[in-house]
Amino acid sequence: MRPASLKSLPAFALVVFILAVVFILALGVGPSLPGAHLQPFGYPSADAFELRLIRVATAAIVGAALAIAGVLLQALLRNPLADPYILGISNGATVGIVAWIFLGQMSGYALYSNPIAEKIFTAGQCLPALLGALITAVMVFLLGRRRGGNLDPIALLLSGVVMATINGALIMLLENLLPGGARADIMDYLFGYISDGTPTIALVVSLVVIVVGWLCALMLAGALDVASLSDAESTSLGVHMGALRTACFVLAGLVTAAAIAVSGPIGFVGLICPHICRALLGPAHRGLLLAAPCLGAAFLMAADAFVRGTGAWFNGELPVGVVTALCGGPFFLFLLVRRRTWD
Amino acid sequence: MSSAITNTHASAGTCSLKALNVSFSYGAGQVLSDVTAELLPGRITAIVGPNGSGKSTLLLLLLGYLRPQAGNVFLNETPLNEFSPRRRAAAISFVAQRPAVSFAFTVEQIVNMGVWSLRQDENEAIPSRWVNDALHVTDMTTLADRTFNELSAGEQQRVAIARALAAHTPVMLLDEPSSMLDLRHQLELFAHFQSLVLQQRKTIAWVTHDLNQARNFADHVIILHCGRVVTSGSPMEVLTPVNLEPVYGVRVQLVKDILTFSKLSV
Repeated sequence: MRPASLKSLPAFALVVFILAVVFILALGVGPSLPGAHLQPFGYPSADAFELRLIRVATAAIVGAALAIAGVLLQALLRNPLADPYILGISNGATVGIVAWIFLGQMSGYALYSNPIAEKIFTAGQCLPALLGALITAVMVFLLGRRRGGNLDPIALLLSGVVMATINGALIMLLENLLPGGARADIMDYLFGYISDGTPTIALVVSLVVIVVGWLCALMLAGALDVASLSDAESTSLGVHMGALRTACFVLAGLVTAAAIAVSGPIGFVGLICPHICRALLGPAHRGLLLAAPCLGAAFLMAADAFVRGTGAWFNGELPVGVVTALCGGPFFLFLLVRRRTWD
Repeated sequence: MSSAITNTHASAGTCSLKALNVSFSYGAGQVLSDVTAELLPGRITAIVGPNGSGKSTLLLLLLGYLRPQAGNVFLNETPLNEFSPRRRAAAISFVAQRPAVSFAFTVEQIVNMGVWSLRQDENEAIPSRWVNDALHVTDMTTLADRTFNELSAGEQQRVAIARALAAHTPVMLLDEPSSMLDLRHQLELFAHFQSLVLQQRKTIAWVTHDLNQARNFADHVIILHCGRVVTSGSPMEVLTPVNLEPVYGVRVQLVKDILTFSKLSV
């Protein structure tokens, strides 16, 4: 497979180039002072620069994680329409986060009063997110299975939609029980929102989880290639399909949860980026797992720069999830229509 | 198809594969009941029988993909389920009835998957010649850069066969490997299997509906009917009207094939 990977070098260079350009441009978009929406362009002043950098980095990390999750889920389900958002996994992680915030509120702000307790509380939000993501992933997987163990793509998408709806209802239920002040904060979060004030500790925890998940995924790349064959064939080639499926689900849940914990459920990044990378580089998973996170990071940095830059024309910044959904929704429908020749 | 793959793989010895009193059901009806079948090195075994007689299921049990509910499968006297997936892959290769690939992998990438598990072991240097030879033998060299899903059904079958050949396993299990192949590729494929069996004492079994093919190329035939072994033995002993008529029963067409066969026989 060496010649193929050499051939994909220009495409890979292109993806990295896009990532670098978007990063530099994204730093220059947005109000020069946080909250100053009327002056939307310009590199921030020195003291605000760190805030901007953290925000752009958050977008990059979240975008990369969602793209990794997309690659894993698409490989696992042998279906290019899979994505953590469409399968309800993002919403599952959100339920965990909202429940965690609810827990914080129930404690009567005790968890927020002590700085150390608050740090632990903030860093720990990955755990309930992971739990919510995994429970949803397992449910979708079980519901999408046909007799004989094969996954039915349509049943899978439907069960994803249903799980997303159930999770949405749970989120609204918890949100309703929160006091008024917390509710306003949570509404932005629920549509996917890269905040100016992501706590560094939360970002670091998410970054570590995502990098570990990504490295594990890279180690599975060869097995994921083989698993593109039928179950019986890939088993005969030495892949333990049960173990690979479990590993994929856990890793996809892990990186999704870590991303959702700092950004809220942002959709379609995990659908679009692996898809474009597959068209550019071919389907081999090592290349995809290297390129898709770069493109995911670039895409979300660009989308977030867009909402920063256009805050002046809207009533404040749009949640970035609105932008990705408006780009990704039509893309998804386009793929769905084009793939109607399935059976 | 003239150049047979020469085997320099040190660890590739000969292997026998045996299903002993295996039974299996997918839930509702019994698919196999108390089936015993032995695949020996240096022998090509044809597994024949009507639709739904359990041929493919028997192959998947021998592969270790399905686990028998009673009885067991032995690879060289060791129960198959005691082997790790990788060690099993090093011993047995498999060609599915309808090979499927989910993403746009090229022919060359797919054939390389055949040696994937061998390449995982650090001390195994797998020559790229294995892949190239397998492509050559199946006449796929010129199509190596095409993606699987743009090939015809017969070409896809040849890709799957090439992938199995590239793995250089002592045992090969094939589920109707030639059902989509044209006559020339069928004859070349089985000539190659015969040379593998003769020169390297490989253990080869294939499921087929083509009784002529079984009679021409098999050393041993197993006839399955309703999940049981009706009889087994050399093709000349076993593929007789006396054995076949009750098995295929009302299926006059298949009995006719045998008649056609006697006219066509070389």
